[in-house]
Amino acid sequence: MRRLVYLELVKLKKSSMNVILLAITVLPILLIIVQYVVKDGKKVFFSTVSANNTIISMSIFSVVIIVANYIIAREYKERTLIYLFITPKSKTKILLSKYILLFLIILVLGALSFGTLMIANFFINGITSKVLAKLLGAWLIGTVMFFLLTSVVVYVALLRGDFISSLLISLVFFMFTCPFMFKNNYYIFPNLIPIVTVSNFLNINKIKSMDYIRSFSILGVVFIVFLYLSIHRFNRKE
Amino acid sequence: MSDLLVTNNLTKVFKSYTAVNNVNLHVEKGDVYGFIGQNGAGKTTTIRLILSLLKPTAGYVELFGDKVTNNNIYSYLRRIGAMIEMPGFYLNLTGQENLDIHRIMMGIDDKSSIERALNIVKLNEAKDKKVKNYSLGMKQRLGIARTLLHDPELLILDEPTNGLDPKGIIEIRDLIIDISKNQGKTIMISSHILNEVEKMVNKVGIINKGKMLAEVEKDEIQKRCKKSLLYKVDDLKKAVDIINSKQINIDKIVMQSDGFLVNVTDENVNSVITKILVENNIMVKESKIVTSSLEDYFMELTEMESV
Repeated sequence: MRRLVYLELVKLKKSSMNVILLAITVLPILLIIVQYVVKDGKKVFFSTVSANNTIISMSIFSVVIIVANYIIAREYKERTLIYLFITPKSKTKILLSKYILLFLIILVLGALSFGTLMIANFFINGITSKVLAKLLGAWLIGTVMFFLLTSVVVYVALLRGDFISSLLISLVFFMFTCPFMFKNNYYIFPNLIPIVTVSNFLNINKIKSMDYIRSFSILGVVFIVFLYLSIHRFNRKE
Repeated sequence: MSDLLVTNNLTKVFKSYTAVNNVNLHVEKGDVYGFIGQNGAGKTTTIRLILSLLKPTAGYVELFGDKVTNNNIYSYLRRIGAMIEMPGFYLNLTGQENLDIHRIMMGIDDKSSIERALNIVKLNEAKDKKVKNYSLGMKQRLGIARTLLHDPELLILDEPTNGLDPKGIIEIRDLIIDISKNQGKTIMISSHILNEVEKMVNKVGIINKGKMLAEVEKDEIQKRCKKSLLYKVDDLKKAVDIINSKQINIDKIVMQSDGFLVNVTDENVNSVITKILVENNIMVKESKIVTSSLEDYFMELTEMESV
């Protein structure tokens, strides 16, 4: 399995997708820093971060959608999937290696986002253990919760087998559900749970969020159901 | 010789369309087997069934003497190198990197296998170029290198000359002949370009509309192929009238724009006909023996099937 994950990393080498992912991750951070410098200079930097946390979460979720679609749909587009299937490696393991890669990407890009904010906070206001704990916590909660949504995106990509159409389906659904983020029953759309939970963790009490156990349980069920469906789809022989 | 690949009444039905209908084929060790048929005849579907990429509706596949099941297919895939339709690659990676991915997927530790495979297909100089910059011919050669990487016993090449220009077709044909002779591989090659297959294979399986019409040795086809004599003369009508009036052992005469074709069973008739024409003051500009090809045999079989 380790070698399969390594191969998934190799496949991303020299890909223009890396630049796109980095840009989507870094841009919101830069915007927060610019906003602080231009507008909120007299406030504590962390308050600007908290107020704009939704943008960071949305950018990470966009990255999840794009990268999950890319690593699945490119195998169809470049006609490489069939060559993976005629090797002695199990199809389920091939798919699971893609999930592990997605987890690593979310972990690294999240670390980049929250790490940059941590460094900026350190230089502007110095860093307190409370701020450090908040940012680290937001990173870990966000990473796990966003990862639990990947199986839905992967399943859509497997159904469509085409980057653009599956990306559009996922993004349009995400945008359509965004307004529900500020409703009390936001959890009807599980894709909003990580955004709301992370926002609340960072003390933005605009929305009353569920407790962590219920939030993780809903996302866990969604993950398992769509993981099962995606494995079934990946192994399916016509 | 032992059979490396056998299909037994292999059938695949997609909804109401039967793509493969009771196909029985036999590829023996050392064969270069031409699997020929028109586009849509069922060649690629059969190959996908052989590689367990599709589930047969009926029938089964035997590889290396054993019946293939979902449980044992992985062990056989180690012994097969396959190229299905157009070869697919990660375009952002180099040729060498693409082969390295396949090497690891096949579980080969020896990195020199890449160099060896690239040498066979003569692609060593382009190994560090990104595949997106390869020509179609180079991609086909890289695809063949990938099939050779794990030193398989059986190569299955689906339309390896598809989309290539005449020069590219000749290169791939020579490469396949070289692999067969010098690497000692058993090769199954599917194609709809009959005269190309004819130059490579020792055995052919002819498929049409999902049905296997014939499976014969190439020598057998040559024996079955009819021979004709072609004459180019100065007075075509007079020549045909004279030949028709004589009692000569010929099947039939076919008029052509610049000459006439005589179907014969015995080539010695040539001297008799030439003598008659000369005696009747008809100038013979050219006479030659024309042997019908695999293409003619294929057409004959498919036309019979249509009837």
